[in-house]
Amino acid sequence: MNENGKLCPICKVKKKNSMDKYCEKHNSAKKEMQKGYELWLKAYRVLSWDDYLHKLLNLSDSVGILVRDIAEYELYFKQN
Amino acid sequence: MSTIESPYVLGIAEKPQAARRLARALDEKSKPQLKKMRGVSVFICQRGNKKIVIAPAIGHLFSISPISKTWNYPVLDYEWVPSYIVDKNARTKNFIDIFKILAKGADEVIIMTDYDREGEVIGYLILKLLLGKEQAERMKFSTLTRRDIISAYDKREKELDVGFLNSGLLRHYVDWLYGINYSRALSLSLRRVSGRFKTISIGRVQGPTLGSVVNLEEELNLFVPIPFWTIESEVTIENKRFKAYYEKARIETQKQAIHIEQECESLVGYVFNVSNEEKNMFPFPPFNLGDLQRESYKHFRFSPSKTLEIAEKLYLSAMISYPRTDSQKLPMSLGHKTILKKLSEQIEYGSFATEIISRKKFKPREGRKSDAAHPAIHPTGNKPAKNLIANERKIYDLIVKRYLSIFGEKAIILKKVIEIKINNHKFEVRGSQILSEGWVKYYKPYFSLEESIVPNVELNSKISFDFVMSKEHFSTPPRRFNESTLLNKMEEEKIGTKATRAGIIKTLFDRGYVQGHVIQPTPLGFAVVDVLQDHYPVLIRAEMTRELENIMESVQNKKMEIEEVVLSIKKELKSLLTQFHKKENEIGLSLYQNLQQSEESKIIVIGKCHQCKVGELRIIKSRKTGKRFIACSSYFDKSIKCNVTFPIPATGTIKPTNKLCKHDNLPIIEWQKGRKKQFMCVSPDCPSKKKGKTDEK
Repeated sequence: MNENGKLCPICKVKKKNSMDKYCEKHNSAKKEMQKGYELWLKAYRVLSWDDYLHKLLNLSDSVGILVRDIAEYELYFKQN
Repeated sequence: MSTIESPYVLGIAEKPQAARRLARALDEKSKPQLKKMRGVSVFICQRGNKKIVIAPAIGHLFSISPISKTWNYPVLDYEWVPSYIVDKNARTKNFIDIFKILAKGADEVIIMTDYDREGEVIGYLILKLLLGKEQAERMKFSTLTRRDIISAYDKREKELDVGFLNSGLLRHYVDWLYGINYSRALSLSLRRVSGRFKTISIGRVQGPTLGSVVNLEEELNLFVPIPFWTIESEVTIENKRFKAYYEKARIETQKQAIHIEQECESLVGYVFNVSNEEKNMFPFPPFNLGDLQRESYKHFRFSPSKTLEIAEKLYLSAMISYPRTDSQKLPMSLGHKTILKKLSEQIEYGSFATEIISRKKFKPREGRKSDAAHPAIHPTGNKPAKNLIANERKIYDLIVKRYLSIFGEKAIILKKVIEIKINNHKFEVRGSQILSEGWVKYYKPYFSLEESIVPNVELNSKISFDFVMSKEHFSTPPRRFNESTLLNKMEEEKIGTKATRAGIIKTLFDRGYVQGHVIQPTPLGFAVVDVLQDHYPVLIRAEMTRELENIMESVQNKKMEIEEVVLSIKKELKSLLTQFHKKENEIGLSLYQNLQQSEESKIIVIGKCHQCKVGELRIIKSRKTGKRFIACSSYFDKSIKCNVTFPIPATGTIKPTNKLCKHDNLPIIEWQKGRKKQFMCVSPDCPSKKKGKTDEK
């Protein structure tokens, strides 16, 4: 794995475990988003992950800053 | 310098203003002789056949200092030294000198400091270190009124209260031991790894308080809003519109919300129940310090430390009782009739005070909390000797009105609820009518009742809804602390005391750990908590400090010996610090990385400074106000001291664009809030702003 692979793609902080997608803080945010997605799905019945991310970004100030980071990264910067 | 003819009784007051009040009250002619000694006012009074010389301190005259002068840890041996030696700004030397001089002619000593742990410690240290005595008589009073002072003199105790004194001394020892050792350990660990010296201070109460602020911020950073719906509706009764509340405050799914909306489409309901209930509202309890600080923040936005400072001034002017109290009790022995009579002579409160006295019976409604040393905060009735400044007037008015309100009768409100059904969906129209205002009229404008009178309707009558519709909402994150809610949190967690909490919050600001009126941790605050969380979580949790508060309580109640407690704390600290020493490199590295990371991530460079051509224009935040602005980095370079600044919007995200404005050649920034995005020149005077557009080069 190259040097870049050891860093969080969002904040460039060293990952705790190189197999993790993000650093520790962004990993926690991803987990919270996944929990949130289940509740959103229950509320709307039909909702894709991408629509969920778009909706989160439109909610602006009340969304946690780390959650916002993940949503922006996964929507606009992620290759796969 | 002339001395005072002996023998005399030496009275030790806590502050110069208190000394003046004490002397005026104790002198039989109310005209004590003033003598200036080294610039300090000393008062000579005559009472019976006794000459009493009252000299003031200026708060604490002594501070704890390490015996060893090497900058290392653990530091477990200490001594009391004059505070002007430890703190070059402390103007205590003349006060110490006059006590040394006065000690020679004193055949008796009376401690006249405020009656609390700190007052006991201030008096005791002067007694022991300057007068060479262990015991003295003690006057205990809650107000600086003539009545209270004379009564305290007549009933003075033969000795200091040892439990009170020891718990006060213990607080100083424990806070000093934890503060100096952990601050040194953290600062040294950072220096060892980075070669950089930065004072990283942390204290026994400071740690958990900062921990609460950082934990909340972390929670906010991870917050995911969850959708929910409410049913909004309005009805018209007798040509007046009223809000109707749906039976469920929150609907979890969109489908369910739409379903309810559809089932109520007819917009016609019928009344199936009407209820009327009288509700009694009793006055709020008398003020203790925490309640006063909260109420003052709520109405005037005064920080807890500012409220305490003002309350202390009012106390020293004998207008209110001693403010550092936990008590919500106002015993009848305080002489409420006299206080109310005096208040009736003040124009603003005259009519209400007279109204209360004219009743046959009047008894204050007390709260549950009590304090062994002092009653709840109350006015003395004394008229302000001079015109109060606006802020003092506000606090005084709040205290007087709260005091008057507790003698008021209960307020009675008639609550009326009309229950309406559409298709088995229940709605409520709620109204309230004030039957008797009671105590509320005394406490206005700090509390008032709102009335909404709902017309009478018959059972089974039809009601027309103007609309019934569902509304989408998203859960909101918890609110950040302000100084008042942080104080609440400290009280809930039982960390610190009424006297120290406001000071701890101020220290967090002074150390640069938190910022803003809506309190947010700084990068430094985050870095310190991150490191402690990993290596010494005990220092940012409330349990340890709460346990120590309980131990201090036991010492105060004479259930534990101070020497025993200090010894066991030293032993525990020694073992904790030995472990710290072993992990010093690891902790230092982690602190260094955290600091670097947080500092780097927070520096946003907008562009080169056009004025000095050396520095960078950066976004910085004012430590005091928490407001952000653009400033040149060369401000801190003494040879340049470039003071270029630009204002920026208080909220939203700001990013540099690396573009310059064609009008004034200054950087253009990108500002985004929600869906709004705008490019703007940093200068508020830029012609592009007048045109309503920004032209970049």
